[in-house]
Amino acid sequence: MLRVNGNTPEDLLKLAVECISTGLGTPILANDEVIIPCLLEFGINEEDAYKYTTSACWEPLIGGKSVGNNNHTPLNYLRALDNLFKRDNLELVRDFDQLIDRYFFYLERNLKAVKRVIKSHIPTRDVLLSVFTYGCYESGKDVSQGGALYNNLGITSVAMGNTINSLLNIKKYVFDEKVYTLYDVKRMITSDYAEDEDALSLLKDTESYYGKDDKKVIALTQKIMDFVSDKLNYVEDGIEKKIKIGLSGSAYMEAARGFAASFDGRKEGAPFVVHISNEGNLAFTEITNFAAKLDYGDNRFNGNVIDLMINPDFINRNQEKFLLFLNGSIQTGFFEMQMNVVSSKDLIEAKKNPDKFPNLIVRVWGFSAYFNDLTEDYKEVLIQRALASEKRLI
Amino acid sequence: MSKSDSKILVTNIQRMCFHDGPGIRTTVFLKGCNLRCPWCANPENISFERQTYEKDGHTGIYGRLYNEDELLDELMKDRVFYGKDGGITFSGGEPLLHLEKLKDVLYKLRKEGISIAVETALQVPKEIWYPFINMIDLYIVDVKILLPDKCKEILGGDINIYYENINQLCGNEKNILFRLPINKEFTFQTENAEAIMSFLSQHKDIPIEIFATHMLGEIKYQSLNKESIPIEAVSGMELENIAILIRKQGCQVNINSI
Ligand code: SF4
Repeated sequence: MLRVNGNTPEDLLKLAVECISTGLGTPILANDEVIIPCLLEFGINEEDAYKYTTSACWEPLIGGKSVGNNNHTPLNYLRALDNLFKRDNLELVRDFDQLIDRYFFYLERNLKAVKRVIKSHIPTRDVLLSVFTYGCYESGKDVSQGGALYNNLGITSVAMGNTINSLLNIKKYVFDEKVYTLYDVKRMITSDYAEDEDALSLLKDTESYYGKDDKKVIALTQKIMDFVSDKLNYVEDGIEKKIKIGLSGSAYMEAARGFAASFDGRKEGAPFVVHISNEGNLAFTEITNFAAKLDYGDNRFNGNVIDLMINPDFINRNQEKFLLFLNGSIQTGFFEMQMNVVSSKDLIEAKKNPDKFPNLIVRVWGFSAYFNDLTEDYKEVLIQRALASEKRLI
Repeated sequence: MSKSDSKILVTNIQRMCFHDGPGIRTTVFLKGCNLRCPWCANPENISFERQTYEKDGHTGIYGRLYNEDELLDELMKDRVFYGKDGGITFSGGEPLLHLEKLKDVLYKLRKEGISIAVETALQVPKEIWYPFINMIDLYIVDVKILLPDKCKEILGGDINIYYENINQLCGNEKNILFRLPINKEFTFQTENAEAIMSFLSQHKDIPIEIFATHMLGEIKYQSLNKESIPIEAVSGMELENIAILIRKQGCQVNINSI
């Protein structure tokens, strides 16, 4: 990870671009300008906030002074929308605002379930960890009793992108243009579009919303983030712990397996949108602006990574301009950014003939891995994203 | 002037462009051109009217009318990325023919300190564009058919206007970048190539960018039911050789491989 800010020396950033363009998937960039103020606002001491690192993949962590799992359980934003269609009396949902109200009703239930999961993990005594954690000696308490200086925990999330795209598709096709009814939507997602293949292409064809720097999209995303932030800000599991939430999460495939179809044209079981990403964007500046306009304050800073798929030719031919892009992105105020520099051609070839590509490395989650070691469905996600992303370069 | 008369007809706005001038730029493709280059890669930008097209069984419309505020909103989105060198590039079509409608947008962009470039064939009568000469920071000027008869016959242009405009730009010490579309059939056909070389040698201080014309517009021609003229691909090696020839004249040249 490379921590960057408005004063990061040009030659260091240049080195980072050179390294990123090799396709190694590192470094991930973390923007101090956004992250440190969030930590301070949350109550982290200034000295500690300036020394933050990340745990797991993206979640800011104060090393040696905090305990508490930062990627406790993934929240699936789409589940509440799925609940709504399967349990609600759709007759009573008359406009988009009411739909959002009902979405929040189910989301709140889901959040209670998340709290229950958190509470069910009873912390166990850990003498060794306590010895190495600042605060335990000072307070005379074990980490399990809240001895560490910072006791908070974080949850990751998946499918915010699918939720936003589904909601805005419903707004457009059900409430604004009245092409479908809510019952049609229900039929499509419960039957996995069995009789509605045409609609599928329409829903996917439509400009994707999540990740566009459009006021409507940003406002809706923020509204959902704020709701979760408000309802899920602390938990009591023996000791009171603040909870942090974030927009990245590594379960975009596991959590999607077997999960019903959604109204963004996603079929049953298909992977969710990866972190903050949108391969339909025509320019990388779009997603950067989108992510930068979200407010990560209060407790919304548990990892919010933009995930870019970049064709190697594009970055190699334009390293200087790419550096300008990164400089602009830092100023704009993204939270974190990671990049996969790889061509669809190589990925497709490597999937067919793994022997020819023993050293092909890709970025998955918060680390890099050999492409050949990935399961077939992960490989396919990367191929599809690379193909979609290359369209914008013509 | 009716409401739609004052609106600006745009076919596309491309953000994060790396090849339309210095820095990171947003390029606006304005609809309407007075020339007819046979190799034109943007045939949808020639007519000044909105046009319906058909592609893969779908119909659509080339051209969207923007009012000033809508256009400015779009152009300001990447403001932070422009830095001191980047900014807006107006392309087309022929942007100089649209300046009158764009003048308030240009004014506001300048007020914000955003650099403005145009990609122009520069064959527009002086009275149309000259009033705006100082609104534009960089003129990216095509150098294509310089032989008077051929210019008229092939492009429907007027080379005297072009030369006069070049003189105006040079006389006013404007920033210029020459851009040469290279093909064997037209621009680098022997006699015209000689005319180009001699022209460039008179303007050694102006940087040059060369690129091979390509058939990327083919699908657009089909969508408009227009015939495109086949053009033989120019190889990277041939471009290199042309660059060497131009350098020999004492000019500074870059190859744009996009
Ligand atoms: S001047 Fe440009 S837009 Fe006009 S016809 Fe020629 S290539 Fe096309």
